[in-house]
Amino acid sequence: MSFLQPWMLFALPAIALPILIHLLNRRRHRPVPWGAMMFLEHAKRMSRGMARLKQILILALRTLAVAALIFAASRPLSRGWLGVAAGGPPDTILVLLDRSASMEDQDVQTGQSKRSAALTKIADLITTLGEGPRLVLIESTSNEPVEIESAKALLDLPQTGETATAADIPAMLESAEAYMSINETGRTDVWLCSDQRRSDWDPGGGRWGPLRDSFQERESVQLYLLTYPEVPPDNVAITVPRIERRQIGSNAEIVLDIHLRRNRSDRTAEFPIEIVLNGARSILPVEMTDTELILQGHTIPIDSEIEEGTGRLEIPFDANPSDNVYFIAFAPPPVRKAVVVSDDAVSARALRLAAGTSLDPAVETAATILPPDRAEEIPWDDTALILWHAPLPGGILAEQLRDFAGRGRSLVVFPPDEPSSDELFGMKWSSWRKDTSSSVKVASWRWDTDLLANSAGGRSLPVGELETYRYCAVQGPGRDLARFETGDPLLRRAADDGSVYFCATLPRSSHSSLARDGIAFYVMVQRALEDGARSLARAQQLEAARRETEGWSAVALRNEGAVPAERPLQGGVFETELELIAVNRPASEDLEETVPNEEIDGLFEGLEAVRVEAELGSTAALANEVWHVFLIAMALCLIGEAILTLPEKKKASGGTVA
Amino acid sequence: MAEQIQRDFLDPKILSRLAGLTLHARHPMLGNVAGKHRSPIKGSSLEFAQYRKYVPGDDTRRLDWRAYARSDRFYIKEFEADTNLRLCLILDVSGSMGSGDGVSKIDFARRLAATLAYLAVKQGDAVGLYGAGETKPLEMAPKRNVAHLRTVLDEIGRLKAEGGTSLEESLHESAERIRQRALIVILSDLFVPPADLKSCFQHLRFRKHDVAVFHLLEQREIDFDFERPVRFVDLEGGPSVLADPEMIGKQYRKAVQTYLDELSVVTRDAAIDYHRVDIHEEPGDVLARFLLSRTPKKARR
Repeated sequence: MSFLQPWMLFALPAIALPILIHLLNRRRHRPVPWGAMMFLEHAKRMSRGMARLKQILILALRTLAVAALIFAASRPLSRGWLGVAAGGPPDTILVLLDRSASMEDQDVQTGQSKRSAALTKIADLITTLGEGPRLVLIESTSNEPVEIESAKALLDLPQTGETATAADIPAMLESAEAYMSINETGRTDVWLCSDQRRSDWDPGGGRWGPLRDSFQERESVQLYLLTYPEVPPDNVAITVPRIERRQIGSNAEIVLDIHLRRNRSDRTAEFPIEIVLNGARSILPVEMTDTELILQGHTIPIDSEIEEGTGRLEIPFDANPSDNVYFIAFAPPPVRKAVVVSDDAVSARALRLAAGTSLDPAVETAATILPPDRAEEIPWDDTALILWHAPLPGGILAEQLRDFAGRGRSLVVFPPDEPSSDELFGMKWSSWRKDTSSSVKVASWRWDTDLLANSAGGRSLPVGELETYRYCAVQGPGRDLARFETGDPLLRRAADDGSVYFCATLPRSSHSSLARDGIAFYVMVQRALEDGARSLARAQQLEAARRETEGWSAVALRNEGAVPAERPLQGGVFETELELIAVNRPASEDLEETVPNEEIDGLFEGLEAVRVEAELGSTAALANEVWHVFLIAMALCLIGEAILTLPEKKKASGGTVA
Repeated sequence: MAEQIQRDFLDPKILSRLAGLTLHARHPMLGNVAGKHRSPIKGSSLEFAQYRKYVPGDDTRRLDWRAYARSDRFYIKEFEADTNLRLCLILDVSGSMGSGDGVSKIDFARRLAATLAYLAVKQGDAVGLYGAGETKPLEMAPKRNVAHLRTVLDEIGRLKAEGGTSLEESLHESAERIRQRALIVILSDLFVPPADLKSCFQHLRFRKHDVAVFHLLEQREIDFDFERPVRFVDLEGGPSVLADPEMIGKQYRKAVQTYLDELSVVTRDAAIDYHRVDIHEEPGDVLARFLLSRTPKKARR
């Protein structure tokens, strides 16, 4: 409970007034000569218990009445279940708004989303507190603090509208901490509105520790977590992980992998998927019996003359409208160009063969070999994959490779004949390890993701059959995708962003069976090539996020009424001179896993944090003026006091002398 | 030089008002001389008492010849013997008798006692005075001369309410010392447990005394209608009591009511002529009521 006029609480010592008056009254007694002491003493003896209790009750009621009056005059605010926070309104209120797609979960009855409900509650709270505190909004798409004029503006600002983005809660808190630090915000209330989705909170990340420390150093900061962890039942989300235009003879078709996901599987759901391609509409009825439904390779025939196009897939309205539509764009796939940098003819040939051979006739591949001293000639803009079998470069070439990987292209590094201590992407080669007596097998590999993942049909790659005779262990931070029996990595992905891999052996018969048992090796290279070629394609599938969108023009929008700056955040299809861009929510937003309350409490351990778990559809306000409750309490106290002090009726009989 | 005693407790107006009334005893008295009161011994008054069979030795002059003529038996005709009475006034002089708003209980008791003493001597009865208190025991045996009356009135004037209560002891002592039948009038606030008084009254009645009690009270002692906390100063020397009437009023009134009920039972059982008196009443009214209540029915007609 806090107070709008807390200075009135200085009058609280006045609650002692009834007791003082009582004591003074007792001192103002007059002496009366009295003969009938025997009755007096008897009465005193008899009335010791109940009468004293009655008097204490009367005094307590009077004291409570005065206290209630003072509290009422202090204009108390009830913050519901928040407990007691002393003091009046804060100097600054920071509103951290999670605008992720999952916050668009709606109450089916009212149509109000979690984001909207949280904003309404916060706006009501700030209105109740008065317009005194400075109001700052930090929303999850930009994480930039924006000062807001009034609470009402919170509800109308484009920056508080719906998006199809993900949120980064630790980043928002970091931004809030930085704002408080720079602006010396004084007594600050930080309201964090979120739905506790694990993907947005990243509770296992390393940023929470420093965040806790920096908040602990701050005084006068009160954190409030307004959370909506409830996941609405029967919500279905649609995603399309793969869109391809395929030309078979004179016929063309669009191949789609459609992924449907829902958070309850106790009943069968039948609904249609509306597919719109270049304005042509078709309906695909589906039946869901489980939590997931994957429609692999759904084809839609198109006119063979249509090279590129856009569209969307849409399912019927449910509890979260933001995941009911998925935008797609398609265009002819780019030529998948690979460059092999090696002066080892045998290895280079095997690498070129793996990179330059496509099983899909619709996909054109090309691979060229460059010796290391001509590495500067790599066509950086057109190349999707570089297979680097040479000493780790430094200087400009290293910078060019970093830029290459940063643009989404793939790089697979193989060990040189004579490893040095040079580093690239924080990784370096150690010395070659020879084992001429027997081969080393792969003990484990990541079959669930990345280059060595199982095939779409669920079949695993024959990685375990590989035999390695010589390998050069890689050192540096990264994630192992395959590991030898010795514990050394066969394939490690660098920790930095981008598709950069270090393979510990070579596709030579003297080193390994990579080339001889070529399936795993071929698939690995082709996947790296496909991954790198993705950024070269004209049709791009992007996750909604705040980014530079100059030159983007809208082809189709999820929300036509959105202001231009917000359109790329809400999903749709955009066009530039070079690309067709379909913008959709990140796949992580469809994961309904939330961070449990205990884990949330642990993240804020040691901080002045209060968690307010709200429910969709709840009309309970975060704070109300409750002075009338205190006035009623005062009236009740006075009535009680009056009842207790009513003079007793005197008995008529036997009460007179004569 | 003799102490000058003010006798303002003897009001001539009351005396003249009560002049026509007689102080009667409810029971036969044993007096020394002829008087206005019945005696257990048959005498020669004009008032017929009874017939009794003649036994040898009886005075033949008292034979009723007419009865003999009617019944052929000898009867002695007996008449009531009128005698005087002894009026013993027992005044409670404990400290509690000093209470009273305007008029104290002891003042009121003085008026009643003095007036009764005057009336008794005037009709030829003997008056005695006894003080019931811890301090300075007073005992004046009943006499019927005017000089004695003067002494009694002087002593009444000298009485002061002080010290603790010793009413029970005083009553028991009086019952022992007053040997002959007497009209004993007790003037007291009776602030003694009724159970203790019971034995006193029974003792007095056992000695064949006619006992009358003037129970002197104030209305405020019953109502206890104080509003503020009051320091009650014990007139009998005990510790003062600071009390809030709001806290203890109910219990106080309950205690008083119980006491009065018990006292009523005790006095009724002991055949005590009990009069509860408010000291703010007119003493003349109280005495008139008392005298009239004791007047025999025949005399009242």
